[in-house]
Amino acid sequence: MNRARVEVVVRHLIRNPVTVVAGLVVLAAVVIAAAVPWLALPDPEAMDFVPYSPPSAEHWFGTDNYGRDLFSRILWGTRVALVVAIGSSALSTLLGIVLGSLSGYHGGLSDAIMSRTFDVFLLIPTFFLVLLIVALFGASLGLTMVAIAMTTWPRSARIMRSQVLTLKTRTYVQAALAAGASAPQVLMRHVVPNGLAPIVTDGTILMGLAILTEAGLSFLGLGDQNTVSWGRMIFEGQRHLRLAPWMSIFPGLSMLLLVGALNLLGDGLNHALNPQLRTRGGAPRHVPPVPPPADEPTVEDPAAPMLDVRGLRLVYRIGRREIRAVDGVSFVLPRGGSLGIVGESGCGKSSLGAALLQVIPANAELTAGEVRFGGRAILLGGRPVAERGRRPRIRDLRWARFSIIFQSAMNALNPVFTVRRQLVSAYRRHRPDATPEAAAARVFEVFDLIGIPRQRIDSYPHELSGGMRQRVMIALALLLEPDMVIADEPTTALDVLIQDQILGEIDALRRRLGVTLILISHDMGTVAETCDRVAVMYAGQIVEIAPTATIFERPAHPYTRALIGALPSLTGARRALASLPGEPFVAAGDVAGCRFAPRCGHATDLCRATTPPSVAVAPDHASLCHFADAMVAAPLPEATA
Amino acid sequence: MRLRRYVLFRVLQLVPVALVVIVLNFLLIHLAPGDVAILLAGEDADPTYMASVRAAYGLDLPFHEQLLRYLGQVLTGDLGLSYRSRQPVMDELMARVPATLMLVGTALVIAVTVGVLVGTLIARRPGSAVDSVVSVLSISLFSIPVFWLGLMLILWFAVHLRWLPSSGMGSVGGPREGMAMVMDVARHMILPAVTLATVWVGQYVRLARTSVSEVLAENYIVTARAVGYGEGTVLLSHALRNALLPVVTVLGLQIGLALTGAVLTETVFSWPGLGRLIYEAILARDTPIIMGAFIIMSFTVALASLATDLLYAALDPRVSL
Amino acid sequence: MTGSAPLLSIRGLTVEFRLRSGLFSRLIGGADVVRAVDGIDLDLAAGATLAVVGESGSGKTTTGRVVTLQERPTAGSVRFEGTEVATLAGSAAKRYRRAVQMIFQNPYEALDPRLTVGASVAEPLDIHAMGSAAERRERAEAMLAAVELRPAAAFADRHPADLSGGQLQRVAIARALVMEPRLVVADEPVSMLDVSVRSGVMNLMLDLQQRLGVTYLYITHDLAVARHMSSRIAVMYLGAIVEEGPTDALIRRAGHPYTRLLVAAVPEHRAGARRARIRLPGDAQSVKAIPDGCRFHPRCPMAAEICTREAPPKVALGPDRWAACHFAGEVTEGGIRHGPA
Repeated sequence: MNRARVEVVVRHLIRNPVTVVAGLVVLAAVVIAAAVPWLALPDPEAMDFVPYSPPSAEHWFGTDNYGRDLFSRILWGTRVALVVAIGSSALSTLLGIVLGSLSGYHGGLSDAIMSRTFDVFLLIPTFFLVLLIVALFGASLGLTMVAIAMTTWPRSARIMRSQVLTLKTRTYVQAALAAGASAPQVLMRHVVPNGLAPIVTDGTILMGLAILTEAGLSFLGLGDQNTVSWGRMIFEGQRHLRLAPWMSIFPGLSMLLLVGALNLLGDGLNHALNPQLRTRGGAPRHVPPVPPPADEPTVEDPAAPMLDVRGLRLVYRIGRREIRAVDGVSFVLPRGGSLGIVGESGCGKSSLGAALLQVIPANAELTAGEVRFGGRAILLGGRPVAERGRRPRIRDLRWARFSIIFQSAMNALNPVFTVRRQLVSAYRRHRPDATPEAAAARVFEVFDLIGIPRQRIDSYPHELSGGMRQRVMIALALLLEPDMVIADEPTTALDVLIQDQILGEIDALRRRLGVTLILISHDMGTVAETCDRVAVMYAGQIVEIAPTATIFERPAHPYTRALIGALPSLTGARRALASLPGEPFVAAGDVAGCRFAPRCGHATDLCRATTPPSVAVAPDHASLCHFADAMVAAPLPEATA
Repeated sequence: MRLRRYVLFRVLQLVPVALVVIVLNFLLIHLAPGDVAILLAGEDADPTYMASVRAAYGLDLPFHEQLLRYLGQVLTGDLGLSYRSRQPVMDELMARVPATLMLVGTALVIAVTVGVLVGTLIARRPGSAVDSVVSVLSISLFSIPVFWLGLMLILWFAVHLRWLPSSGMGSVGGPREGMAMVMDVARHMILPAVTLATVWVGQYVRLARTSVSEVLAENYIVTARAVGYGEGTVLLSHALRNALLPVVTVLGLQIGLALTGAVLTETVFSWPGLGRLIYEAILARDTPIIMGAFIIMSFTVALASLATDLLYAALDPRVSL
Repeated sequence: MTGSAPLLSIRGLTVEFRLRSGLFSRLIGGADVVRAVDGIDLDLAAGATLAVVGESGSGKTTTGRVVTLQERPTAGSVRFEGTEVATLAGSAAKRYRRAVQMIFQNPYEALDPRLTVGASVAEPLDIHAMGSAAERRERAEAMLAAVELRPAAAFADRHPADLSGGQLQRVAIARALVMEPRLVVADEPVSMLDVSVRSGVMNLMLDLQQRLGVTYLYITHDLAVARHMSSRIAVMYLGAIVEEGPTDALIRRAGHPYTRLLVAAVPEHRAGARRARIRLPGDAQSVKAIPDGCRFHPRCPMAAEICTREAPPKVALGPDRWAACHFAGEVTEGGIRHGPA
């Protein structure tokens, strides 16, 4: 781990008060264990005091049946607990690292044999093995430690092996090998150091486990008779539970405190190393709906546009950061029209799709915007619209009239259910009267339309090829004959020919069924063929929107021009490709000036200071650029080559 | 078909586990200090018994023949005689199995049910204050030494409040049949079962919480929401089956730890199960019982792991050989 | 391939993998074998670029991995400047690796997150113990400057986490070129980059080729990218090369229906006109079950009876060109005919 990464991890650690407290407890235990011989404490074995004295100012934790001071015994017990914890977890981790790395790195037959061995040893109930070892060989702290390590190492080895298996496919490992590095060189330089974090994290949990195991043995009378261990104190205390409960209470509390601190520390480390663990997922937030506007027509207006979006804004909250993924998007999509939304990764195009259907992640929020579907509001001021006492309108629209095609390579279908189950239940969700047979019949109808062999209905998603899975997703989206479909990167990650086929199918279906379409893609070429209009997104905004031909022939935004110029052509003249300096912009808060200015070759002081207005260079062609009119007139890069 | 091949394969995988456990047992007793016969028969055994033990284990034969003989004995269910009772170890152990099964089963059902329920509820709001509190609480729960928790519960509920019995499986001179006996046993089981469930539940809360919230971030869940299912349906019909997969895995891996907890708890509550027997065997240096218990526990864990693997395979169609 | 001897010459290269690697199937030896590369021939001219174009599972990456000795062939020969290299081991293999380097697809995993950029670029020099530590650092910085990461000294001290995808791929290129190799295998180097960054990396690679005279084996799924980068193209399908020829001729007048379909599938937005798509009879195939006869026939819109029976020969379409199709001449002249012959 490099310094910068360490800093990030440490920052995450100290931001979590629980981890800090846990760390302090562990630290205190270490200090006590180291310092206890020098503390002014009564001899823990000396039977100097009145037996069975309850806790008092003189004996904070009381005395035991032999008149020994329990406070002193507990502090000495810390020493034993830590020795056992560190000794056995260090031994186990070391064994695990060595065997796990060897197994994972070399792979092949030796890995097959070794990993099976780990599995076998993992199945051995460790406590009973330790118990047998200690019962046969006599109780001693050293033996206990070794015995515990002998039973926990497969756990460390398994973690290390899976780390190594992942790491060895990393490009930098391959690159080092391709450059001529030997296997041990690569293992020592790249694989082991990068794989250590989880095993170290698990080490703290192993430490807790070791303390509990030792205590358990001592409690069964198999503890080292020459040491003061918490487990043995409870073992002795149990016989005097009624008379002197403090003999059991305090050693147990100490153990709970130390083991708990170790586990909490391990948990905190784990989260600091993988910060997304804590906040990923969750159910969407409930947003109280607002009533529809009073002047709205009571029935849908067939002349109204299918979709009318104004000032839509979506914000992600990640920790304390706020990212405006969609920042004031407006457009109008007529019935039967098709709009392509193009942009690079992180520009907010997929968030826009999710926002239109109001299926946003739990850490996202619609903070502004209006959306009208067929003239009737479904979103006002960023909040869902519902008539008094009714459910939000969007819930009646979803799927029945407004559906979405996700990229199926990204697990858009549930892996544990058959295609039949997923499609039939979706159909019956909206047509509760339909029998399963009727629903299946409808599924077959759509399958025929798209060219999915009917027998595929009983497949699980993983049994289908990528193209077929994507077709099933399309079938799901068309199942209820919706008026409006969003296709979010429907062909990404598919092979070229399949991509082309599926795009063709989407296009043909749209025409045949009169569906209104939004096609979201990172590829200008993909939308060009399918859509009447194209909107180019950059940093959460639509920077240019125009009819398809216009956007390619007379682009009015420098970003659009760069995107077009960056594409190598298959048939045109070979020319130098345009490239953009810098990195895409992420909108965090309010921004002054043009978001594209840092990467724009034409940027002036005006661009850096003033947010550009939406310039209408033609009635249906708008661009967010101060110099839109000049851009339209400028020749395309192709002509200059 | 797929499942049948899988089952066959997994059953075959039990063979090495069995071999390793038996060989380990054999090696340990031979490596241990002292005469093997004395270890098996007890220090103060009479010479005739000692001789019969020597003969039974073939202790005068060459090492490898002893191993083979031992393997054969264990695989036919012969675990030797308890030196205290002179009864077959197998019978002694089997007599105690029902009590342990009942206790562990009850506690596991409580722990998994409560754990999954709480974890699922928490998972809906990852990162919230409740989530953090429950997370710290669950970690604290599985950091408690189980035998100590048992003692504390006895102290409070049996000694101080006198609500519940502190030990045994039935009251002395209590009812021996019918509903009354069931109720009596249940009353005796409350404290030990709660002790075990309390220590285990944290684990399942955390597991379910992580797993459910991970699944809720999956794209097929977004699909389900877009299709128009309500959040309850999404959670129960679309997310839970996927989310249970890691719970099942861990359940399988934790059976060994669960039995550990059971032994310690039975010791505290004098519950007449395997754990109590092992404890008594340790006190009496009854090595054959301890060895037999290790073998039986290992086989139990292996079988339980097989059962959870099969459950996993039944839940997840992607599992293949 | 006219004139001088090729820099790299591949003959009959075959690579097989065992599909299942479980202990059980290994012990009984009943593992399924998959032929990822099936007897291909290729020649690379020094200083030029040969693009290998194909979909996933076509064997293009495996071919590149054999050339860089990350994979060993099951059969066939790979000659570099006349010397057989596929069987090299030990110090001879290490020497060969100085001359042949690789650029990988995923820039986000290209660099060890713990090491500084400078250390990563200097790593090949460390491995081959070339020069003193100061000289290595100097060469690494010079290379960073050459890939337009300036100021190089500042970039050398940064960590991968601070760099963007485009910058990471530039560092990876610097690492591949720091030993001044003769041949660089570039495996989809821009496919994971955003469009606006992609072109910069392609331009850089072309520019470096001009300056250093390095030869590229450029692996890609994108014909337009292949056209931009290469002078010759070999099209692979399910482990075999189905067509090979000079870039422009191959794209303009392809002789294999598969190539024709690939060309047609590139969305030609500038044309604006809607294309008539051909609906393909079959779905994607897998190397796990290579079809008999012509391996493309289940998906080919003009497959005839002969295609299901006989593997097509290499049909010469010019001095430097061939296609493996029973109807290669017809396709070159008239494109894809609908329906079987």
